[in-house]
Amino acid sequence: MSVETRLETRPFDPSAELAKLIERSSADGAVVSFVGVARPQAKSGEDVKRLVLEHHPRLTLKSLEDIAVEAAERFDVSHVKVVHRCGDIAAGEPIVFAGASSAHRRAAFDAANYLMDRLKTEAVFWKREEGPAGASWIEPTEADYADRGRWE
Amino acid sequence: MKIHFYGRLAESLGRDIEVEVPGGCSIADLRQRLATEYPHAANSLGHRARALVGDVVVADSHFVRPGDSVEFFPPVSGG
Repeated sequence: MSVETRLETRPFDPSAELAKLIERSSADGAVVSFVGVARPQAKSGEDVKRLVLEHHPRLTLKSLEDIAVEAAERFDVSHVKVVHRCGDIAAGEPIVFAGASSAHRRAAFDAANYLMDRLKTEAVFWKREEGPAGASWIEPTEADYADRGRWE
Repeated sequence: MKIHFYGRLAESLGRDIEVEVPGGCSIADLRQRLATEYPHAANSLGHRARALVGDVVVADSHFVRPGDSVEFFPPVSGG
């Protein structure tokens, strides 16, 4: 079993991340991945020019590592991978890649789902949308916390 | 005592402030004092903001001493 986590300050290529995960998973029967992308519009409908993800110098990467390790321990997976951006992210750029591989599909689907539910509510970032109408802080919604609660 | 803020709290209060707490105080006392001194940030300093000392989340009953550094985290969100 392997776990890989990275915090990226620059844009990354999710296709290349998936290709590397597939390559590493040659003994598995399933690879599942999720890519989160910065939306060009806020929930209010206002245009979003960029997303700013502020991070903590020590605890942000640790939170990614903790979540990825717990996913690897909880599900019958071979590999877990999380790549997360921080800093200024233009609309349309990837924010997060979460992937898992396993012998059979269910564990990989569940692990990817679990990774995202926990990242949405526990990864140590503070997220701000900026656009022509101004800036607003984005915090987890009740639905995000409910999604997280499904795994308890 | 040094206090470091993140996210919306840093926007309201500045990234770092220093307060005098002769003899120390609890995190609850510190929240109350900051909310009184910075009423525009009182809501954001409520229970949804976690307090950390030495990179560990601490309870409101935790006692901090002069020389300690405290960090306040508004709710976090990745993905």
